[in-house]
Amino acid sequence: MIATLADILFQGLTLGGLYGMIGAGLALSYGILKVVQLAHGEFITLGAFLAVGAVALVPWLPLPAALAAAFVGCAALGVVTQAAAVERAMSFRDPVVPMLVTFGLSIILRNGLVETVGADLRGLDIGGLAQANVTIAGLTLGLLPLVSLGIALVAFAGLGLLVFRTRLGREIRAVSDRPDIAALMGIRVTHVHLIVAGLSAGLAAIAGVLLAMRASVSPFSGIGHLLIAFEVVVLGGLGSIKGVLLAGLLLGMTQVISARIDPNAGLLYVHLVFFAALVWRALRGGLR
Amino acid sequence: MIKLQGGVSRRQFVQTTAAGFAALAAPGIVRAQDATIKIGYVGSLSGIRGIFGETEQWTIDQMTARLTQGITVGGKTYGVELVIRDNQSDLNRSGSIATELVMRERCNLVLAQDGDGAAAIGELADTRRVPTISTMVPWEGWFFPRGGDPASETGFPYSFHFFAGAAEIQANLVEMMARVAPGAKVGTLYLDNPAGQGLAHPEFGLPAAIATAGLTEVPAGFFQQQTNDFSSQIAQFAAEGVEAISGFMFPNHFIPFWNQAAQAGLKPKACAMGAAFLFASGVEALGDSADGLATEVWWTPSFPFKSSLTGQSAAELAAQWETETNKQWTQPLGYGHALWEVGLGAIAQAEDPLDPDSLRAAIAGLKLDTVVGPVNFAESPVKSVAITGLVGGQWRKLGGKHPYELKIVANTTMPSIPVDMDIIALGGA
Repeated sequence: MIATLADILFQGLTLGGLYGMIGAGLALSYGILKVVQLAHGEFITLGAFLAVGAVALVPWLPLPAALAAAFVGCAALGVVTQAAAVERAMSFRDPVVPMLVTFGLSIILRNGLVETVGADLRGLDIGGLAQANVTIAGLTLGLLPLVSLGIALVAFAGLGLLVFRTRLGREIRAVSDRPDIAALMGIRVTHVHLIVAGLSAGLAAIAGVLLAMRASVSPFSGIGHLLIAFEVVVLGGLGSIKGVLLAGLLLGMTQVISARIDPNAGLLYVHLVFFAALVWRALRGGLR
Repeated sequence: MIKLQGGVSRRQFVQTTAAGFAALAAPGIVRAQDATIKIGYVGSLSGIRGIFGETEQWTIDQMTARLTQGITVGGKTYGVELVIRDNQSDLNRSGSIATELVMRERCNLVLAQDGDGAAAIGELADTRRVPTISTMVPWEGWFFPRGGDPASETGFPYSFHFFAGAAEIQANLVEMMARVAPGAKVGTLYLDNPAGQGLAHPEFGLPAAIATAGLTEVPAGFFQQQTNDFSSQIAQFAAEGVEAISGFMFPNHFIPFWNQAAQAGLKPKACAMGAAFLFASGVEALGDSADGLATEVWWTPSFPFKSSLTGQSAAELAAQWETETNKQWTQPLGYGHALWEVGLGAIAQAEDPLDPDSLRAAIAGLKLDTVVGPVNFAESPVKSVAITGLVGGQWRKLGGKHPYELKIVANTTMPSIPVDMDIIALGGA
């Protein structure tokens, strides 16, 4: 009984950490740029494929190097697309314009991936990590979920430190709150936007690598991830970093617990919890 | 003698350019024809079932080249016009393509290499008198949803289908598990879709076959399409001491399932799953742990049959594909080729291929040895259907040209196909 509970807790927390990670980049993009980044799912997929490609080129590549390759590659693309398209779209007062631009971007990225890597499913196995396990106090735990949770926590901690403890973070928060006044104070608003877009895409890439190790990716898997990302971000309070992690953990726990009771439920209870939380917040007047 | 009506490729870019070229080239190619047979084709060349259609464009290109000289039937030469359409694995698009092929293009014969494509065109073809031949889904999945009656003397008016049956798929999966782990507990889980529900049917599905083989089922029931966490099912299997695993999953479900099972220390002796291991890519994504995963096998290069069109053996056909495309063969390569064999074979035997009733009679009376084996509509117990054979195989890591090779290990349902290797237990045991 204790072992079952511990297993549920373990599976729920690790899945939740992954969900939080999926939402992190989107939260950053929405919270600071005020852009609903519909290409977020594609950045996740692209990050996964970058890592898959890096490992195919260099088979002995350690996990940190694969993560770094995916992060840098995706962040660079995030910066380029921000500079080339999204930044201009943001100058329209209508928030639908950048949304449409990122929607178009997602289509380009998805079909670009199909074009270059094909429609096949790819998995990522670095050093046998995907199937490795450790036994702690009689409980057999997957090593990969533990490592994933660790990476997610480190990423969130790093993000928190960056935003709340550094000069750059202060600039980011200033731009987020009042871009016009931040600009008067000598902050290069566009520059900050580029950094945030890069960071957002880079975080998506890390989530993608973790997903590829856990399961598999294909160029079409982005949309499914985007839905989870949206639920996590909205539940976490639109742009709150800590909120996103907590929301991810809540949804992960919900999914694992509901699956024990009703294995055929899929993500039903996850969506229900999300819905209930929205209704509760609406009743308390928390939705503006 | 051949007119291209928009060459369709899986790749959007190529598609656009090819269509452009075809449009430019078409007037030059078309010559005055007294009689032209129009063959429509619908397949899943792209979209989620794109991998089932991966080899199709290659096959279509070969057939296009073959048919430039037209076909001679009863001393008369007919030109051939191909209308190739990609349904993008989409049911709605299949519907509009069906209308297009039947109503607007008025094809003399339609070939469907996809379940959705076949389902969408069936009724229309029957009412509009367009002989249609389809494949690539177990015949029950084509026959029963359309209201087919196995006892019928006549069958459907103009639609025909050839493929193996679900019963043979189950027999092979269960046989392979029973040989590796006799008397074992078999954990089962099924994707909640029509194919999964069919396989989970208590009377006609896997549960009955498992019980007959002296195995005990530990059912974990259905799971939803978007499921990405199988810890609940795995905990159940581990608690029950499951030694074999079966059911119906797609690779995107099986990969996380298999990884999580290994993480939980679950080490089954056998795993025979419907649909999950039809393609090498889904197996390769599992790394080293896929050696010995068992699947149903419709066709491999070691099937001892020859193409009625090209005279190539199965091995030669696969070798040609691998040489020209540098990709590993897939099972639909054989069925994609056989679809044209059956279609062109029927035309060759029709008294007047332009007359729907004559062509229908030719298909209904067809008995053809194809690269996938005998396709026999004439003596089939179920009218409109030719039931083809199926065997069981395992993916093996043999250090050859490809990371994994599909090898036939069980042939009781089709003894004319030789076994490649002995069956092994998972984990090198």
